[in-house]
Amino acid sequence: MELDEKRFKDLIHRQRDLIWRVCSSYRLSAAWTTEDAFHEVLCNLWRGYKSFDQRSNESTWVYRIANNTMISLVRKISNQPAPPSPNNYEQAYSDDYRDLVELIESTPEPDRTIINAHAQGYGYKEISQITGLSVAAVSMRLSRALRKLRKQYG
Amino acid sequence: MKDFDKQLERYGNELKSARCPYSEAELDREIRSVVWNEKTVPNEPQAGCLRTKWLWPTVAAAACLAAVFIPLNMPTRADVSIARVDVDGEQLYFACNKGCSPEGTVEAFKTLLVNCEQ
Repeated sequence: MELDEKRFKDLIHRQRDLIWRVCSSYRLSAAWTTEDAFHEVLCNLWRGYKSFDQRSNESTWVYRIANNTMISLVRKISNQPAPPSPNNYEQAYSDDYRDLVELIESTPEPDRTIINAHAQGYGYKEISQITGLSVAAVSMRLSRALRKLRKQYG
Repeated sequence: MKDFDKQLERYGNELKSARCPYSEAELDREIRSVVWNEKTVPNEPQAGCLRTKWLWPTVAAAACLAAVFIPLNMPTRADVSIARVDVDGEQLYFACNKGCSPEGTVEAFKTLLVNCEQ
């Protein structure tokens, strides 16, 4: 196995949960499973791997590629019917929680990405690396998006 | 009364709790397919690769490809450009231009079979 392949394999094993997390945070269509999206992300990570600077932050690089892949997929298949919510969704989550999830899911990009990353504990600098926006822009957008969400949420 | 901060925290925790369900072997196979396919098929169509699931009842014996086509999770697609085969023969991956129908995929598959037999 070539060195690049070995390193890539190690990277995917380290970041597998992060990739899955990004994939599963988007509802695609009934025809696309999270497994399909995961595979698509792996393809894009491998294509971009040769230009990946090993000194840069690995997880934010993976997050950025995975997230961009998902945004592209969502755009590409936006005319296909969305999958139904899981059977246990209605029982498992309170109305309050579901209201918030629906609001976040309907938030346009890149604000949705910023909110998702923020909710998971990423800081401004990391979110800046994920989105390609400046730290100042991330700060401003996050503040504005949260204010709007809070207002809509009631 | 609705507690925005509490629900947002819960949302973040739900996201963070997601775990990749693949076993080590399954993940290795996914990675191997991606790497092998990309090296084998240099002229990658723009739309990327579509994961399709297949069954090969005779693949082990014939060392080639046969028979049962099961298009799972496939939206309507118009054209298949390049067929890709996983190294261990358990799954196939097809690179597609902006969509390929199951019928088109079968045709590409048949071509692959012919080439393989030759």
